[in-house]
Amino acid sequence: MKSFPFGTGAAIFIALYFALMLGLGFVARRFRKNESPSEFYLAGKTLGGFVLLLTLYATQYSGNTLLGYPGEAYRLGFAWIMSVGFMMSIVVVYLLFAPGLHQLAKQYDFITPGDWIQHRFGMAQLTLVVNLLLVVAIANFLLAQLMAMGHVVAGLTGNAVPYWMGVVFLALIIIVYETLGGMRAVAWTDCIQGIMLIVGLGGLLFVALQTTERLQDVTAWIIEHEPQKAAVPSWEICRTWISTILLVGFSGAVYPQAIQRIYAARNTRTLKRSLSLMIFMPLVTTLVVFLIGIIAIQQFAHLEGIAADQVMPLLLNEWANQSLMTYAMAVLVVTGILAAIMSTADSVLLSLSSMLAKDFLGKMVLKDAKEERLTKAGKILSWVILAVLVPVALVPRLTLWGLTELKMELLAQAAPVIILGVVWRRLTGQAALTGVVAGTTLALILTFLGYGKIWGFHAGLLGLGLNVGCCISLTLLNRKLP
Amino acid sequence: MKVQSKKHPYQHLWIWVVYLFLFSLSVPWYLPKVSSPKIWLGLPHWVVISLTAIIGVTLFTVFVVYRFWSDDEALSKKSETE
Repeated sequence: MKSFPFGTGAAIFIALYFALMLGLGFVARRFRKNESPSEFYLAGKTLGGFVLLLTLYATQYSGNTLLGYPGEAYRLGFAWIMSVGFMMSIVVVYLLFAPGLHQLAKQYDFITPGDWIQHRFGMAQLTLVVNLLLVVAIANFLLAQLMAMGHVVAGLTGNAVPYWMGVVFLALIIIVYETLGGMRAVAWTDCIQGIMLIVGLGGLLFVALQTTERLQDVTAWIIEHEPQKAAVPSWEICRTWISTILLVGFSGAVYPQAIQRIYAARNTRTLKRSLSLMIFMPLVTTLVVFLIGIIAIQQFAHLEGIAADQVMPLLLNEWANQSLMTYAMAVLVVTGILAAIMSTADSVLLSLSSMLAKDFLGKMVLKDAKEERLTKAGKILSWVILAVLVPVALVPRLTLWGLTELKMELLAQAAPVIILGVVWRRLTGQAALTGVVAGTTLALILTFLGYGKIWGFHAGLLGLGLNVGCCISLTLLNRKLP
Repeated sequence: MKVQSKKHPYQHLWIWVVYLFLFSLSVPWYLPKVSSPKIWLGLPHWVVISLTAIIGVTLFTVFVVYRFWSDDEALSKKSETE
């Protein structure tokens, strides 16, 4: 039998954590006042400041943050400090549109991003196109989380629990508590998961400092042995850095699950408090995992492609075998990593099922159905979504970061409709539709032709530029015509 | 002339100019491309400069949220009726 480096103590701790998740699902079910979509998908729009902050945090920081980012820091070196800035740019973009959108959502009872687009432009075609874009993009994101579940379980157990079993087992836990309690269960479990994540990362930093003499030694070692990873970044990397700040900022801010949390905030004050704390999270999350990847440059060599995503599990395995203290910290981190992945996956799954149920089924098949029936259809859809995506996740072909980039290329194209729609009253539906089609087409053509980046700028950002250009020019042109 | 009150951060252009400046500072495009950087606080010097700009973004955002985002819940209703 293969070795299980984290032992029985860790297994019991993680089992208790899973039991707590399921228990919260049952409790959340009892708190549900009715079976309306607003109650199930937005927790009745009553999320308070503490819950909102932690659910936003746990949702935004995913398996990719904890597994993909250290791998990217390992591959790229210190230039990956860009990850702290681009995670921050998401909160900055929120400031553009969240204040206005939150008030409108309260006033007009929005549930999905499609509700806002339909309310603002009144164009079924535009709503359909943007919904399709969002669904494809976040299905991609959910796939990345499922793959992360497999990687982390396989990596942390030294393959004692195989990749496929990690994907299937964690997906089952998520779908059960989500079906039971909807957004309330997801938000509550996100709170536990957010706390686990913060505690885990604190432990991670502690463990890292235990095993590394000093950060200065690591930096000096990298400068001596792999100078290209410590050098001032080239012009091309700087251009990609700028491109990533813009691409992640605009695509990350329009995640449907994040938009639904803007809707679900109890009031403006709550939302303000949450976002003013969210801006600090890259410093306590992304910066820490960046440092872990940097430490790994000295500790490991010759990891390439998908293997570099195993940097974090490999480091934890080493630390777990050093002392009782580092073992305890490593167990906390393991649970924190699982928490990060599960909290993102549950939010994405809930959002995906709400869009499919309300914006697609509700408008095409179940047009006159009662709200309760739509909610029930959404629950069934959650199971169907996982039944489709889990088998796909069992055949990993791309690195985790690669999967995320594909998602962002698409999500960014929805940003002008959603954001400009809030801040620019003159924007017309026709201009927005032309923009989103042109931007998406350009981004996809460039990506499929192998031009993922041109002169360091992402295809998705070039598509976004064309998209915004169409929105502005066609709206202005339309006003000038008689 | 009707004067529209500014209740949201997006209505203040200078805020976005400051963000542009801080994010530009966080990308080391303006530094000489040396392969052996100096070590400041255990990190390459350009990483410390970038982090300083990022911390600037953090503090500025807190300022903007509390100073330029009105929590008047009736705002949307008011603007709808105007």
